[in-house]
Amino acid sequence: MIESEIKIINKLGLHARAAAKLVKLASSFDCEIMIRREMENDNQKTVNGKSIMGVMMLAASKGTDIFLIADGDDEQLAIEQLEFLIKARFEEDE
Amino acid sequence: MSVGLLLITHKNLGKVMLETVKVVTEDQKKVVGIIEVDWECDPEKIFDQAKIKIQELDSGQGVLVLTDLYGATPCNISNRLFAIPNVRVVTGLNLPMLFKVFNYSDQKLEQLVEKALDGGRAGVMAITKS
Repeated sequence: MIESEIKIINKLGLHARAAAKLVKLASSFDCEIMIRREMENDNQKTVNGKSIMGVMMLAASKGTDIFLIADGDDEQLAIEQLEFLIKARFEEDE
Repeated sequence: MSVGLLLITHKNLGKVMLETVKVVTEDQKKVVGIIEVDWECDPEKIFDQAKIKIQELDSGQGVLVLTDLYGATPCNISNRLFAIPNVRVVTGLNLPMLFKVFNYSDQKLEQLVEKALDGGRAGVMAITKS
């Protein structure tokens, strides 16, 4: 299992279109993919990275740190490509 | 082959929701049937149109009909479609439901019904400070 922390940097955050791209990419891997966000009062929210409703419910705006967790044979590639997508601002202009 | 999808709603509610989901998911290819029920419609004619659409949409995996409001004309028409083999009807169509159905479009009909219900319900919440 691999866990990676990454910041959401695009202007609109993990909004619907960004979530759809992330889920589409995550769903292309065999490994299990979860995404965790630390909330207020030390609470956490962990969702299935292959579920569009789950990812949207994270409501991760710009500046939010999230944790990508991948578990399976192609976990390394999954984390690398998901990180690339997020760092590329989900191919948005800002 | 996947389950066929038919939206039966008040006027263009279904059409606009479908457009929204297709733009967000960048999936313009998915074929989804739409029937707009106008205020002055003839329910019998709509029912006949829906039966034809279901035949067109069913590729052997059945058809899921999503409609908007239980007890209203679009739903009352949809209810009659349930008598057709391999047709299931879910009412309360909202965007979260449609997103979920798109996300799991390769599932079998009975599982897709559950996904529609899950998505529709999970998407309803009060916003609290977070």
